[in-house]
Amino acid sequence: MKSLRRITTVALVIALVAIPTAALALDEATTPITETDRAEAERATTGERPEHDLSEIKARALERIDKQLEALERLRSKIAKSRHITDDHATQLLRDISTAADGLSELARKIEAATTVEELRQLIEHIDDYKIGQVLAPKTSQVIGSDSLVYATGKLERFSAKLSEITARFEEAGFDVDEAWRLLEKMDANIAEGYRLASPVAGNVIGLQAADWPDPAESMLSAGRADLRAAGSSVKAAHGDGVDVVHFLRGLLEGSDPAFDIARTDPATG
Amino acid sequence: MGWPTVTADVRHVLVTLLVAIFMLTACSPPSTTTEQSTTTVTNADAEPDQSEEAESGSTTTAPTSQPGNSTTTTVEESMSTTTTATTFAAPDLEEELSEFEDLEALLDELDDLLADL
Repeated sequence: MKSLRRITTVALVIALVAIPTAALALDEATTPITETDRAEAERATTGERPEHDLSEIKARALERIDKQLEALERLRSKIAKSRHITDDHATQLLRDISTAADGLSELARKIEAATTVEELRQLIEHIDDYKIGQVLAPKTSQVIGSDSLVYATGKLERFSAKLSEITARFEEAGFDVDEAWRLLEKMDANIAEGYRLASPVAGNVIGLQAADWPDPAESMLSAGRADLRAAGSSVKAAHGDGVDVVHFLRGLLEGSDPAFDIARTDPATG
Repeated sequence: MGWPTVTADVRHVLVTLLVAIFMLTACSPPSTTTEQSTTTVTNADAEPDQSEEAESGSTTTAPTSQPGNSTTTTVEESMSTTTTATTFAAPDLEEELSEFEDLEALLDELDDLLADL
């Protein structure tokens, strides 16, 4: 009786374990293995790209290089179009761009000459060495932005000085120009803040190289971006203050006291 | 005791002096009082005063007769009045600020640059 019970228990255990396993095995056998699955399995073991054809791998690698060379050309064009970048900064950036372009062109030649997948794989790893999108492009934009903002603050300083001179003339004539002086003071403070923020950025980022990515390039570029945006706001505010001064002075002329005999200078006659 | 004897030369000198004194007295102009003041408020670039206004030359002759006296006295007053003019050569803001007209374009350019950072 005891042996019968043991046999029954063993049979039950076997049934519980064997039936699902057999079902799974059946399932696997009935599902077709596709070419993709095989390729994925192969890539998982060898680490190779799906294209086994060398020329196809080369074409893709060369396409990536071409895109980077096009990006470098756009940076060159950006520098050429910038009216306010300093000559020194332009020279330095163009030198970095040429270095990257020369390196990529050399890499393209090596890729074209490669004869094995392994050789190609090693070369392809170097396509992103120049960190064009991460370092070179943002630093070029920031240097141009910094120089342009510095130029703008200089122009605004001259604008402020001219407005001060005109305001002083109104004051000498007896007009109440306290509001104009207040606006000019605010304008000067905004100009100074814009210069303080924008001026150091070009110098801080222009020396960054691909090897500086991610540290310290990432944090420095991030700080530069924030400073330039804040400087842009200050410069805009300064311009707004200047425009307000002009409107204020125009208002004085339009609503001036009749006791003043306002002699307008005819621009045609000087 | 008679007049001392005067030579013809001395007499001639005395007569000439008397005639000269008479001529000087007769030809001196009547005195007039003229007050004029101008205040100009202008700037360094101001045109020469363009709006000075003045009224002058108001003369009054008032004959007066005193009872019991046949003498007529003529009082002549000469008065000059000047209106104070304040001149302010208003700047032509467009003209003076023309070199800053490109600031708007510069700010637009900066907007594009900052958007591209």
